[in-house]
Amino acid sequence: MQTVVNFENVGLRYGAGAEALSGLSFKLFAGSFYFLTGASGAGKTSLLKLLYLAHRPSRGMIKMFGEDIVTMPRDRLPGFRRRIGVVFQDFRLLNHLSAFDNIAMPLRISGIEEKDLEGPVNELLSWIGLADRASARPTTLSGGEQQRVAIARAVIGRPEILVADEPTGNVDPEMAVRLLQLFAGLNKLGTTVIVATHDIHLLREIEGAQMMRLKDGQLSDPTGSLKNPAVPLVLNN
Amino acid sequence: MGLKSTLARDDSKIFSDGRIAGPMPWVIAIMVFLTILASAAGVAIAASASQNNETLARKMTVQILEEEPIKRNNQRTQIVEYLRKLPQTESVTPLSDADIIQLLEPWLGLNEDTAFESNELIPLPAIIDVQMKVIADEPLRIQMLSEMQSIAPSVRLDTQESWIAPLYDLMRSFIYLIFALILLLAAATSATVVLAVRSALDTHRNTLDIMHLMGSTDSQISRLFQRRVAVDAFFGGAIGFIFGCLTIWFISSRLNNLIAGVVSQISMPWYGWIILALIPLLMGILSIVIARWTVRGAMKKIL
Repeated sequence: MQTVVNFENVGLRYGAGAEALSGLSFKLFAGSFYFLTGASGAGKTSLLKLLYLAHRPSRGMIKMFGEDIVTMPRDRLPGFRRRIGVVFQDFRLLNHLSAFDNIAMPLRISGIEEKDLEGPVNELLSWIGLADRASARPTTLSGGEQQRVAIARAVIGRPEILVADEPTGNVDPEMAVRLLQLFAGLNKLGTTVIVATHDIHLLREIEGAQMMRLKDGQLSDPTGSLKNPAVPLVLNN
Repeated sequence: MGLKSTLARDDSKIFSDGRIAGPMPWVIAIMVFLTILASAAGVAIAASASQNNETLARKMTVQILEEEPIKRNNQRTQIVEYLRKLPQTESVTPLSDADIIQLLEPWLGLNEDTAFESNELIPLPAIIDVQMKVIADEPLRIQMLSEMQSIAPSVRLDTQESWIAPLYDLMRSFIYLIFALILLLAAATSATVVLAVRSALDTHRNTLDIMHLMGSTDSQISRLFQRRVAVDAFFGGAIGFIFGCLTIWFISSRLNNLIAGVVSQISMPWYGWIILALIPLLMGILSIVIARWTVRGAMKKIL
């Protein structure tokens, strides 16, 4: 199976503080589905930031799509970022844009013509149940609706890696399952999905998903306390 | 096709407003207005200096300081003949006694009625205006003086250069001063753009972060700002240009009514208007370059 992400002894430190992440070594494979769990402050968001190239690590080596992104010149990073879809914990929708324009932004950034935008964006708006709210601003949408728009924005560009930080935190259980099905559908098309979540029940929804468990900035012992033997853990190398 | 074309074409779907920051166009308008006035003054002075400089530099004055009137008149006649025979002279104009009396009247109170009487009391020099075909260099001047001294030992040869040089030095100083002023105005405009763009970067920080994480390049993001700065700068530049030209026209017409002769000497040459028309354009281009530099500098601080 092709390795899309390879961490080797990666550490991340903010300023002069203690390491938020320490000694991370793992591989993520193309077309796999991963859940990232851990208590608040365990380092889930920090790890996701490394994955969606918002930060470079303080130490260690990270390879994505076979290339070392730690030493990569920053002018090459945008091309890699376009291959990664991100669902932020706080959605980070642009409040001055409509739901349609928020979802269309990755396609506009990729240079898709306006006439070619409408079909995919409207299709996705229908899928997330917001076809009639296409022109609504995020501030007029509920938390769940905003989250669906954020997810639609992350997946519209058919990313090779999808990184989601608590994507089901503000939606009802039925919608949570639908969103996970969307992620699973993308995963079946070859997208590597990494979902950070507190909701352990979600882990059972995706067949074949693997789990990464963070504790105090480190991948915890695979024989740790999580009682879900159906989900294999990602092992330290 | 990349973001560069798509976003440039429809960036209203990215930022919430069409402008960078409130007062920037008006500050640029003021800067362009002042630059137009300074440049107009500089161009007019430079044109006047270069136009008159050569004409005046080719002029010389011959004075014969002989006390005896009859002898002085004879020497003047011979020197005029000598000068007219020189191949380098364009025209030789001996001033009549009446012209000389008129010249000296403000200082000595002479008039034609008292001239002959005064002439005996205060000997007047014979004066000959000489217009050369070329600027007489020093060897030629020495040769001319030497040959004229053989006719009239008391002869003096003055170039206009001697009294016009300090005036031209002053004009040159004004031009340097204006040039420095224009540079300062350009620097102030650049600083205004930097501050406005930084303010806009802060305002749109969230949008830029999202775009950045979605794969926008520095060039693509800076282009969004460049477009807005261009709109503001050219708008402000046009306002400044219009008011600058109106002011120049107003001042010119007032001066024209006041002292037509002076104005004709320091009027704006045709190419001056082209230079003035280029000022808002150059200010606009400068603003765009500064905006690009500011945005790219800020973007480099993030990964």
